[in-house]
Amino acid sequence: MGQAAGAISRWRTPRSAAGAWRVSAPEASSADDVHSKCIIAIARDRDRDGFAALFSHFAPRVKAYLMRTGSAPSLAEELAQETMLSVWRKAELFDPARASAATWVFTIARNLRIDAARRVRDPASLAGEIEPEAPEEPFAAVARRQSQALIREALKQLPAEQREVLALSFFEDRPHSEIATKLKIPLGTVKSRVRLAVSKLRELVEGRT
Amino acid sequence: MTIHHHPSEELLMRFASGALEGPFDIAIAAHLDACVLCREEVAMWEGVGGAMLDEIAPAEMTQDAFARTLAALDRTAPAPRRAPNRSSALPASLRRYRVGREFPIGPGIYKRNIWKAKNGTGRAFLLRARPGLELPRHGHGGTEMTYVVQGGYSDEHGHYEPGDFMTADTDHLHQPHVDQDGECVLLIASHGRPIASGIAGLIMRFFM
Repeated sequence: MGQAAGAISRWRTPRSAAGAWRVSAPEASSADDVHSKCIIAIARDRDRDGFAALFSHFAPRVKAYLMRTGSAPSLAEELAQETMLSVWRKAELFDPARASAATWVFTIARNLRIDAARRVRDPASLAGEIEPEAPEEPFAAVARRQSQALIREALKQLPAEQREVLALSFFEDRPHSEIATKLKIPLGTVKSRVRLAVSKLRELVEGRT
Repeated sequence: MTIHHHPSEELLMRFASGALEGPFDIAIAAHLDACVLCREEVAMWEGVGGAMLDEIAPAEMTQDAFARTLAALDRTAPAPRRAPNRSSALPASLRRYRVGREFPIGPGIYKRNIWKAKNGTGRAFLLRARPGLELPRHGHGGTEMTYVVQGGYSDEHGHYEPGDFMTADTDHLHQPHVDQDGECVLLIASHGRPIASGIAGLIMRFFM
């Protein structure tokens, strides 16, 4: 049975869903706009030129992402191709009002990575592809296009050292102890940099002070 | 529905990055079905993931990667299967799992398996308990996450209702008590077994 202790599951101060993303945002990067248009063109016309452009940008990056999170190059290659195939097949589910192209592709690659790991552990548990009942990726209907641009801006504003530990701990999911060894800095410094990066990011994205 | 207990910010971050082990993302996904605040938090991290993906140094694809993918585009996509369980009583995020049949594991308490790691260390399952049921006091051999699907229960630390999410680590003892006014359905994801005291505890230990 499960439980909660005050110390473990904290009581979160409610934030208003609208308020959190209210800050007016700079325009999304134009490269990402181009990628969004490619996905929409695939949904509408099965546009192969658009697909080629998406493939050349995202496939090598998805492969790099998967390798950094510990996949062998051959699996990373296979999942990167599978990610692009999903982009083609699921293009109708892409909603540019909800997510940037890069975020959408990231969530597809991440989900494939999770399923690949789970298949290794328990091949029988997943029922495989099920019919989409609603656009499932990315997760939240509350994510707004402009918040994505805000996140990009916020990341740019982080000091390089905070950005680096955030990339290692979030994007590459490396344990803090491993980051400390890799960067040759004390564990406490890693923890405080991650904490600072997260709170700065939140402040910039949510417009909190 | 007012949700009072949420996953920690760190758990949400790890969920968004895809790093959560075995059964835990099943429990978090169920909570996200119900909680807009946590969905927002996950969306923020997914945005971070997208921005970082855009800027990562690309790896080299094999030479025929694009040609092979293009060839695959023309193949018919495998027909999407029907979701294996369409019960509207369960969180929508569970639809993609083959949820097992319900079986009793003690007086007034029933279990349905959702997922189990092959090596046996991680599992996710549903528990349905009758109103007023009191479970033996127990701790945990590893981390355990609980999501309240239906009904409610209390322990020494608080009262929990639908949508609430709790994390318990090793050494965390408690004695859950199901509310009198209805059945309680919980989604539990755990690493390690519950460690219970007393004879009733042996039952839990054996079955869970």
